[in-house]
Amino acid sequence: MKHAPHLTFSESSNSTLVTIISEHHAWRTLSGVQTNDYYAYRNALLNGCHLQKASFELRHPEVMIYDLSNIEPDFSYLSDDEIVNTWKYLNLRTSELNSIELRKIKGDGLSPEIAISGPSKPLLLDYKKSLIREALSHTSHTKQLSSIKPTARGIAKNRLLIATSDKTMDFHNRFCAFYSEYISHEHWDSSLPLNTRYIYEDHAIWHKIKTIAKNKLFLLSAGLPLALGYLATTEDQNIFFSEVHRQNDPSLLTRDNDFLDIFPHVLSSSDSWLIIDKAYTGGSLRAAANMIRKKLGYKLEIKTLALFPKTFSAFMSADYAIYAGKLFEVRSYASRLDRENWHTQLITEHSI
Amino acid sequence: MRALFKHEYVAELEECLYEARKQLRRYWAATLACLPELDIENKNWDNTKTKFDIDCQNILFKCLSSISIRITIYSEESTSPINFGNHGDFYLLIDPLDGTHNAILGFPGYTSSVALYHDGNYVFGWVYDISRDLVYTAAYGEGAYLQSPITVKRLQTRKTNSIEDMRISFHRPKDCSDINKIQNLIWSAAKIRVYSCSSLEICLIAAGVLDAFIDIGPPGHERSCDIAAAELILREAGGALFDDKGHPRLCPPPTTASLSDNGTLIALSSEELIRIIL
Repeated sequence: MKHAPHLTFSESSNSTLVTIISEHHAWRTLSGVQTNDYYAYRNALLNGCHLQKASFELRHPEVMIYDLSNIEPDFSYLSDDEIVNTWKYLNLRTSELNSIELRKIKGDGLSPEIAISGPSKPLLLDYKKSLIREALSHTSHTKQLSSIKPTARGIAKNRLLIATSDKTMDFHNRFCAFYSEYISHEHWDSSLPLNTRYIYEDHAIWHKIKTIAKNKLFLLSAGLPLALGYLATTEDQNIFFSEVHRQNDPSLLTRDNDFLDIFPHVLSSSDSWLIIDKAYTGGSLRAAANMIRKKLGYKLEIKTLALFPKTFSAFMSADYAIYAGKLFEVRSYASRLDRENWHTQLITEHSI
Repeated sequence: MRALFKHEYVAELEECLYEARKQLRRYWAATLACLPELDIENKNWDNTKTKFDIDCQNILFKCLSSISIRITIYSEESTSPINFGNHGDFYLLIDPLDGTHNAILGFPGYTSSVALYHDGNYVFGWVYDISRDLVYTAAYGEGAYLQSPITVKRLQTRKTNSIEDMRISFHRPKDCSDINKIQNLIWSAAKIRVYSCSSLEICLIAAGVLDAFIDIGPPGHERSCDIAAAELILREAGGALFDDKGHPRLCPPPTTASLSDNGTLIALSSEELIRIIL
């Protein structure tokens, strides 16, 4: 029988010793432990405990209505002014949202994104559809579909994995074979990395990223479809993965083990690194940079790239950022942006 | 396992089938994995439907019953077509348990096979190798794939151009002249493997494991419901199918006749091999 390291309840701050009484079994009374720490729960099972009762906390589905940092193909034909005006209109309309079920997602300085959450995904999608129709009817524009690449203002996750080269699919399989070691068997069917259907599309920006540093480190699990999109476009196999677990990370509930390494495993490296991740605050990028330094040395050249940054600090704290389909070297733009309007100012700026 | 293909109607069907895969897997672990039952092992095989066929069919029907597209299902174990869904013009040809005799013998070679017909073509095929928990699948024009619970691999047939290099599977013929043909192949081929489950054997050609599956004793054993899904998978992987005379073999659109239209079959890893085999 497999035993986990024995921990008493007092050694784990999230665990409490409880008494369980079974009225229907002659008031049989025995001890138990209550915890909201997933690993404490798994260790307790390995030590012979039985699950007695569970409570669940579920996150409502959410839908992005409009994201200036990564504009959807439907809006790509709009001019800079139209893009900003549409954002203003949608921001106003969603701020007025007066519904018990639907809520605008709020945050500290989350300027580019307009997103909603609610109990049902179809309900959210219906609301989005009607709101977008309304917004576009208020925008006077001339469609120039022939002259503008439909997704130039963003990078969409719309390429089928099976529509990519054998090289990309082989890389995906090698990664999944490795990563499956960390995923509990019962979660194989629901694990996002093991069930990738769409990856990010072919976009000119991937070729620009390729030249910034030799090695590219993507953070899971959002990083897998990004990395595969990058690989499928550039055929650059110098891509690596790691994980940074921060608050509200539900993927931890699917794990047998923590993945705290780099895939493919790197023992030493003197090459330059670029860490690429979607950024809300930039915290994961900084944590990953520190992890690389700790593992591979403090003299390494490490740069960060904030994908679709959602806050001013996420943009400012990275070395590079991709915003509205354009690549920015942050220090060249920092002095031109102000904290209140950076998200609309970047729409009119030019890419490096 | 996940949906793979482009069209949303195919993806919806794939979602239903992956739910069916879980239920079939449960059924395998609970029932099929425990076979053979020694008291029925020695009974003569009369090709009638068994409890196992019906159970597998019920699992598939239950999982398909919530589909939104309108599908008409022709299934090996059902005498009349079944309809589910509301809109569209789609037909399914199903063999819920191909290789029933293997299942009863406890030989691990049996599948559930589902082919989708739409707009004049078989557009999607799904063959679930129940005992190995592997799915062979293809969509018209989008390639053929092998899915495990962890990986997805694009399928391509093996390229060979001599009998001596070929890995061949066959259905045992009864007629003397056919026996001689098969005997010649047995002694010339590099490897002989016999699974007695044609959908699986055709998929193994698609996967580059085998090079040929041969059933040439007239009238043949291969019905459209057995092989329609595997046929699409093999064609998408680069293979070809012929009858015993060397004419291209194509499953006709699904009808009740598809459940009993036995024919001969030579399934090959490439079209050119037919010249060597005949």
